[in-house]
Amino acid sequence: MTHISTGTLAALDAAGLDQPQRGRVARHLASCARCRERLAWVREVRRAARAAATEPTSAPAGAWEAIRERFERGDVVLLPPLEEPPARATRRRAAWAAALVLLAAGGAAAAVPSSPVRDWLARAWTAVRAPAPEAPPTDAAPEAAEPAAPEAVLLVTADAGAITIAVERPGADVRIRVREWDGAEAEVRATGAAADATFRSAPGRLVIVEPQSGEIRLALPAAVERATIEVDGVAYVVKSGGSLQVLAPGASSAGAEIVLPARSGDH
Amino acid sequence: MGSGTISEHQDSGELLRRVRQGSVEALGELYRAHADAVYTLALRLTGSRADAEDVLHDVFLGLPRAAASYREQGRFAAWLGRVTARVALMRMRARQRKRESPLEDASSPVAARGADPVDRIELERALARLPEPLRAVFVLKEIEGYSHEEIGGMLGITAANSAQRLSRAWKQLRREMTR
Repeated sequence: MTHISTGTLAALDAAGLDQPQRGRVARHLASCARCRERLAWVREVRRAARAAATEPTSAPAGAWEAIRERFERGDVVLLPPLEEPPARATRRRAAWAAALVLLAAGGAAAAVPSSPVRDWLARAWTAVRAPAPEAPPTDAAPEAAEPAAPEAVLLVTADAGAITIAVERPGADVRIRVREWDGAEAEVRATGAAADATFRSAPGRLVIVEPQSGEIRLALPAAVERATIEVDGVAYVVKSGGSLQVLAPGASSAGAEIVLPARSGDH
Repeated sequence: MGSGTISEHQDSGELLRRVRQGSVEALGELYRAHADAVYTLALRLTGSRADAEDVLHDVFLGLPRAAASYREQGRFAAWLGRVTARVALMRMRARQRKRESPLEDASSPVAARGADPVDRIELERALARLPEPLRAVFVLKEIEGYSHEEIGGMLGITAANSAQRLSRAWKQLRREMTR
């Protein structure tokens, strides 16, 4: 005799089966003591778990005082976006992956006003304003599909015409990509383990604390007067008016982006 | 939240508006109304009191900014539950990468002692041994009462995938608790 799986029995009470399936399960249960016993076990486990959960655990004493103190000194935590349809995330990943050509570019050279490298970078940054092509969504089987990579998307509004994005204590594998865009705010997209970093904001400033690995993609508004990207307190990119300085010696360009080494110890 | 463990607060929308404007009093009112439920859900998901307290901090300090995306008039508790689950799940993923394990805490909600036929301590330990993706779905569906569609939204997976994970969670629980 073929028995019914525990998962199917659990779905029986949770309206997780369609009518034909329910009929098949009911007929089987009528003649199978073993599956009836297992269904009783499922119901008992569910009841025990829910009964224990009806009593909320009190938040720790002193937690509110600590939160209030942090709130009053302007400490803001940026929470991850609530819902991200997997297909949309897949398309976005493909769009980002489409813009990847590594080409060495000396950061110091880019800082020189008449530098050809700087001119090239300026052209490249302008080019990225055109929307990137989107790959079609894939139709993989649900369980076989790779879960969407975690992604945190944050916007930073300029304060007095300036934006500072600071990365603190990044992991060795963190990659930072910088580009320019036409948006009014700086857009920060942290993917992979970097999405789990702590994000702290103040007017015109975002601090990304301890991203372990993954990528941080920064889109700076073309219209912003001043923008600085720092890693562990060291300025890596400084934008002042129309002038762009890439100060990180290990920087390279990738298509329309600048790729920065995350670890300040690397330079 | 699905099971209503975070109770509704009539003036949540107004309080949220004031929080966005920087009112610590409004944040305090929301905290008093919802902190226990936020902490309890975070504790169930992370299995760690330290992580749950961090989630509590993050959720309430994130409210001023997150409130901008609040569009669900009259359903603040449900929205806050999803925010809490999302933050807790991200913390779990980060912990997994750091190879940390949740503490087995006999006083956690699921582990409360009782005279039930199912040994709650054994249940809690079996839940703690589930891989976190399975455990998260089990807690959110069977304890918190979210739909697979809602869970899919939180975890970035499909509803069908959520149902499959729940089925695998039940299978593994059965194996752990009956051997």
